[in-house]
Amino acid sequence: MQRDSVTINQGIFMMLLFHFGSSVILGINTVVLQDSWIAILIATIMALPVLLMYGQILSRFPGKDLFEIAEITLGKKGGLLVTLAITWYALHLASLVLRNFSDFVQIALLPETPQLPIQILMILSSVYLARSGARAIGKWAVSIIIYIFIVVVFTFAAALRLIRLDDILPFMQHPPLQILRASAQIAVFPYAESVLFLCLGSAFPKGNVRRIYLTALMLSAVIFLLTFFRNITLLGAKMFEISYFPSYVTARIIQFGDFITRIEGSISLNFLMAGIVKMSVCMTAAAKGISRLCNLPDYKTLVMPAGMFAFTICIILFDNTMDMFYFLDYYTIYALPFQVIIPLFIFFVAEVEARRTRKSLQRE
Amino acid sequence: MRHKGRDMFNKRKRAQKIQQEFDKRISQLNDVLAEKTVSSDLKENLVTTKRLFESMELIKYKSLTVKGAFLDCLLVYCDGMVSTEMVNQSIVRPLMTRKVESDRPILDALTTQVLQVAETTRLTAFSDIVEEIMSGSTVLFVDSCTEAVALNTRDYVLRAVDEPENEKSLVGPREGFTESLLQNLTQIIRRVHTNELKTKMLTIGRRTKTSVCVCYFDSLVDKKLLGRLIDQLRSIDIDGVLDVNYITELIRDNKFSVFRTTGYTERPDTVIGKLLEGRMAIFVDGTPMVLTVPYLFIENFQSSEDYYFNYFYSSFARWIRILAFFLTVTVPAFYIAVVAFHQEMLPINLLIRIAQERQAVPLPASLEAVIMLLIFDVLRETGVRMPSNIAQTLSIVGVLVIGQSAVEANLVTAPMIIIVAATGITSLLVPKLNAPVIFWRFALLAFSTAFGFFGFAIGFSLMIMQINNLSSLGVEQTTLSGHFRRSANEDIFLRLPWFMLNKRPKKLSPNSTRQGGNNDD
Amino acid sequence: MRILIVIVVFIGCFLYDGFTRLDKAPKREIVVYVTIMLVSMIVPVIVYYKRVDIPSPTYAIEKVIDLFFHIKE
Repeated sequence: MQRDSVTINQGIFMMLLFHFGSSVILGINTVVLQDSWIAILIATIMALPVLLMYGQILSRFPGKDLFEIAEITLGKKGGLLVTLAITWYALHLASLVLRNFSDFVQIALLPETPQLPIQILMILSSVYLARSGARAIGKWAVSIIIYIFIVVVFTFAAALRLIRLDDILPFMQHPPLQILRASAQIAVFPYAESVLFLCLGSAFPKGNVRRIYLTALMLSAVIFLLTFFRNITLLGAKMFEISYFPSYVTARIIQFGDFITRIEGSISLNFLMAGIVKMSVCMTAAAKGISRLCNLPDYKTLVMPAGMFAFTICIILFDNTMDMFYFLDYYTIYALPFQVIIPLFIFFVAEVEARRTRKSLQRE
Repeated sequence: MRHKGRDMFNKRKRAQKIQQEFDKRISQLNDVLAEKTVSSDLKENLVTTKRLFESMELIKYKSLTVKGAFLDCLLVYCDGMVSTEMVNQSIVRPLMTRKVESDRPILDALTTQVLQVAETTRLTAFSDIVEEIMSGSTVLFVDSCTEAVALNTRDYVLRAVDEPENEKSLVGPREGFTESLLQNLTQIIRRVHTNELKTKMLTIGRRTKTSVCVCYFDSLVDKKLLGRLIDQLRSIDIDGVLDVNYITELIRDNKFSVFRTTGYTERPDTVIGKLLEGRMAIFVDGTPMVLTVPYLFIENFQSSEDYYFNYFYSSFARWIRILAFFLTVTVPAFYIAVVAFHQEMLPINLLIRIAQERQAVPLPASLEAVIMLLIFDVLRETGVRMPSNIAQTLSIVGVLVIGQSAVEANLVTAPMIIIVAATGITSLLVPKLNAPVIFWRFALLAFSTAFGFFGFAIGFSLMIMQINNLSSLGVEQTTLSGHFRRSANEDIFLRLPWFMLNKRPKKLSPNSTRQGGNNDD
Repeated sequence: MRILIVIVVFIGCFLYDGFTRLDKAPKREIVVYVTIMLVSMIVPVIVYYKRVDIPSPTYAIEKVIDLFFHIKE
């Protein structure tokens, strides 16, 4: 019937929610506290060429996803390796996100509920969304984006009464090397994770992928800056440092008028819906990888096993919440091969091939 | 004990065998006879017809002689379905008085020169003859002819055209459909004076052979969708079709979904409005309801009156209906989530009051909510079914006795009554969604009871995902393409004034200009 | 208790997928599906039942990276 395709705006919103998903929960709280806004800006500049590279890879091979491109450029064995690596990365990322969210829900919303049913509910919702196809994820993103914009604007406006602009100072208190490391962390953890969108390649409109990546990057940078600015001026550097979920703490403090207070419930709704997008994309990528490894035509049936496998990994992943935050520093280096090195290989081979064929065409 | 399983297995096999024997006997009875064709011997035809209609005493037989040709003929018709005046004046009288003088075959001569009936059909198979007699035609058998003629003499009693009960309007036309297929089609044709309106007749139902008609505008409809619809209608295999809902459930896309995939209406102006957007209408003989496909989700909130009122009021009314749907589904769940899990969201005064009231009541909040919702549904269902002269008494009973006394007896808290009343009243604003509303209301309540706000979020997300996945005849019911173009949204959340409604919804019709000439964009 | 929830959820997923997609699927797909689901089901059951900690990939990654880079202050 209809092709499982996504329009430009759907793609932009999907990617925006993907970036937004887990990083707004874990907060952009890096070691550099009040200078994080510089880190965000530098991270955007660092991520720019990487995301442009992703867009270029997809536009060279319109209608194909990352696994097919890898097989074309790197040969059968290379393609197999890449598929295995990206599938494992997708599953690991899905379970990380799931663990982030279930920890958040347990700490913030439901302290007395064990994490198991929370994880099951979230993974089942994401599986349902992923099974319905890429178009359904796009439509879901459009349905949610209005609510998310309203919440962001509303909380920002409500916070204006309580902010103290002095908290953004002192400027550049931390050494530049530390700021650079923080920005590398932000560039890896949320921005370059959109490498997984390459696995949905056939769903994107041809020729517009770079625009989707760029617009989503810019929009999410703006939202991160706004959120960070609100958090730091409201909480102050010290409070910002010790809280695990700064956006949540902010939501507890702000109030609108005299009677709308303690709105942290609605903020968490916000996060959950964005997190579902992130997990669905990861699971679609993983399911496509598995279906490619086992030579199966349709990936939709395998979304459920992929989700359940991510759920299993999630249970054994960390012993406690503090380990989860501890792992963030290692994640910056661990994710590099998947996010940068593999796509770089593919990009180089594709570009060299393209120039070679262009030269041979010119010669003729 | 050991043989119990085998016994049940044998019982099932026995039941199957009995059913097969029944089917064989029935088909022996009917098929052998119905496979027969008209023979040239009039007596044999009479015997066959009498055996087919063995215990059916309304079928009348009349033997005649054709004047001039000295041929015997036989008239068979069903009393009450035919107009006796027409049978007497237009069939029996000319057959008895007019002479047949030509060397054409006798049936040709009769139908073109003697019988004064406008619609005649030649038949050979007895199954067709049975169908025609039971629809009100008179069938004429002539000796030495291997064909019979069915003459249209239908005239039966019908309900007068009336305003439909469930779709009353304040402004605009007040006509509704009746139970006759022909009259309903007439009401449509009366409003359309071009030849772009096409119909396609089908018969559905093995035992009732109900006439079903698909109506569409030739220049507007998407031919692929039309083909798909006809294929699905042709593949229906059921005893009988009494109402459009049988067809609705048999041509669904998502088999178990609670949401509607076809629209229904009782008013001709609504049907024509939808036909003009490129949809197809399905009429069923015997019911005033008409189906329209494909069905978009926003049609749950639209009514034809929107186009007869001022655009500003209509847009406002539409927003109220959409809001009502979301309120009626989420309010009980939201209340339970706040009261049971996140009390900090309420302002302090309200919190103290609710806490005071909750102290006195023995039941937990969610159980209270479930009981009150069920009571409300019972009351509403009773109000629909009972005779109207006790309607007023019952509403007073419902409100005063149950509501007020339950609160005073500390069985229920007062806020819960308000919540349930709000839920019930908003559900009346969206009658087309009564099935999904009930399902999702209780589902969200269950999620909310178990997991508070998180459960509510997950349940709500699942509902939105299901709505996004709905499709009707292959067309998606919601388009959230992210493009904020005017032409895609002009009739969805707002009803823009008529001079701005320039384009038809693209999914339904490839011909998308509604006003301003037929130039393609 | 947790084991029961896990087993019930997995059986529910099997049934749901079985009725909607698996009956029309090629045999290889069913095999892959069942294998992955069984593995994912058995691991939590073992973890909860024997209260054993299966080594998680996280700590392996951390150790490997610690060999090459010096991250933590």
